Amino acid sequence: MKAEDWLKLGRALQNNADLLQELTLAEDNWLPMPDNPNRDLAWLISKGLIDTEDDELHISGLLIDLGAQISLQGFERAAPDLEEALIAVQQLSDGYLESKRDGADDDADRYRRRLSHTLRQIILHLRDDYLATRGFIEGNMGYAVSPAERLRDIQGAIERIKRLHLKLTLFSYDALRQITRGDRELIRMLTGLHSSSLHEAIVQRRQDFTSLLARLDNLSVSVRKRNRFRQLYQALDSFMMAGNALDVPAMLSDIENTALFVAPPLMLGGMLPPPEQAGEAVSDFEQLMCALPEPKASALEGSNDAADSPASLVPLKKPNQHPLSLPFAHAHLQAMIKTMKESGLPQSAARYWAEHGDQTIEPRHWMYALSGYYLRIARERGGKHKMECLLVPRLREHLALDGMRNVIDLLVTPNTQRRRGRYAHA
Amino acid sequence: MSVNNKHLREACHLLLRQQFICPATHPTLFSELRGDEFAQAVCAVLTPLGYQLSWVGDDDSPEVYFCGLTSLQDAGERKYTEAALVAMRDQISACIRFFQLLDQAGNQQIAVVNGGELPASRLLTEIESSPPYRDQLRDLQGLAMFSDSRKAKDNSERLNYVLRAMEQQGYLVRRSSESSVWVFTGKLAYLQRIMGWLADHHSLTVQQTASTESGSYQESML
Repeated sequence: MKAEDWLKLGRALQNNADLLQELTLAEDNWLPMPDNPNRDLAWLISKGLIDTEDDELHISGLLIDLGAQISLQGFERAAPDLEEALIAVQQLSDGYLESKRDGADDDADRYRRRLSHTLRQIILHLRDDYLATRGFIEGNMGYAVSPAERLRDIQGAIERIKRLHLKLTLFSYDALRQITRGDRELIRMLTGLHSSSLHEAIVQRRQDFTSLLARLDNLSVSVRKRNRFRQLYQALDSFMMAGNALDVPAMLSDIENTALFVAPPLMLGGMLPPPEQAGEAVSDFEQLMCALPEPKASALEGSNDAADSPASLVPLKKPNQHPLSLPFAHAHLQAMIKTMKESGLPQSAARYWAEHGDQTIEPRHWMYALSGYYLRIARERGGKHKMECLLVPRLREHLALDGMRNVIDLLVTPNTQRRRGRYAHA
Repeated sequence: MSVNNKHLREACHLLLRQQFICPATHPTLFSELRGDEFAQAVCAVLTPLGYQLSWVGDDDSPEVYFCGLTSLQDAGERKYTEAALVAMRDQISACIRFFQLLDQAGNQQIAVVNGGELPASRLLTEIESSPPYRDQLRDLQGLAMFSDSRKAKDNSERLNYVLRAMEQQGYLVRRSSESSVWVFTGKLAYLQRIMGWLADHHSLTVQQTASTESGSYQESML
């Protein structure tokens, strides 16, 4: 460690002194993360001097040791060894009870505080172990890459937890009970039912360790399985890469494999009756088939055609064989436009029909067709091209109030408008 | 305890439709099938059809249940089985390529075992951060099983196509409908079993470097 590290530690401790005091006094409670944590706090957390979980802070065992060392007289750092820790607990409890019996309240209080710190150290020590192991599992087991190393790591973790588990048996309820000798304060601290008592904490840890062991066991099984599978497919891969083919049909000849073959899916369909009733049912079925109507001939032909002609992937588009038919009004309109251009005069549709048209068709029908045709070509040109002519209706006399408009004639007039195209008022 | 008829019907339907029942796909049915009474009831349905309830894994801890044949006498069934095996063989090399990608890009931390999890988003991050993995992923599209991934525009989509192809073949299933974590199904154990038989048949030596303890496990697998 360099001098700067110590400086940094000192500064971090200085800037968070109040928080640290709160944390030490908080006993077993977690403190929420302060609203505006300074950078030094983050540094302390990153160095593991303050633990954090879900935005809650907890002082580490190391800092408690340090704090106890500098503030409490006669404090000895509790060894992580749980056997020694138990002895320490025993001694402190005895000291506490003795001073209490002697009426030395100050001494008793000092012993009590030291005991409380020792207990917290033990609890924190166990918790740290648990968290480290859990972190190991959830962080994908360290940095070991090869399966063998990974298995070894897992085995190591399992052994460690087993040892801890074994040591926890020292802190049995009976052993702790004996230490308390019925003193209320000691009972509260050692064997109380609340979560901060030593016994409860140990029961909790024991459960945690058991679940961790199960997880580690699963993990090692899965690593082994996976490893075995990897070796298997690598062997097969190199076999195939060497140009060999897997002899799958040989599997069929091995009678022991039969159970391995997946049964073909059962098709849902009409169930034939069991053999003993088959004769009757089959004749019923034949009758039913006979009663069905004959298939249509056209359908048959169609299917034959389809079978004869070579199947084509691209559907053939048959050309439209029908000749284009012009609307009947077309020729008449062209004729009228021609006359109109020659004479320069508007042409009356009614007169045209009387002179040239088919007399069996009434003029109003003819005008209806003409205006329909005109509107159609106007729509087809989409208003983009100029129409050759305009249709101007002549209306029967009517009152302004009368809603009835009666067209008696349509005049084909030259389109002199500058606008492109115009729809006729027909 | 009586047999749950609804579960029985469901299980038989699934089995007869060639579904594999494992904890990842059908947790309830799988635990039911582990009970003797339920398994017997299922057998009572399958046996008259000439099928049996098969499983892969240890006898006391099966990994996956499926509907197996009892004999290969029937020509149709034999033909079908042969075709199915050939189809599976064609999948083996594609699967191996995919597993190798998982091994390398997943830093050997993706458990390619029945019930193992495959975190797709983490895998994608790894793949995108390294050109060799990207190439490996792209190379998968040359395999018939993953040919759909040609349509993909980027790596994320490509990986999705690959995962979906594996899902279609029954090897993977999403942990939940919206989760990006996939879980390997029991069909993987089946594939492993087939591959194990083939390795034995061709007398391939499978390296054993992991640990001395893996011996007992291997015995149980094969």
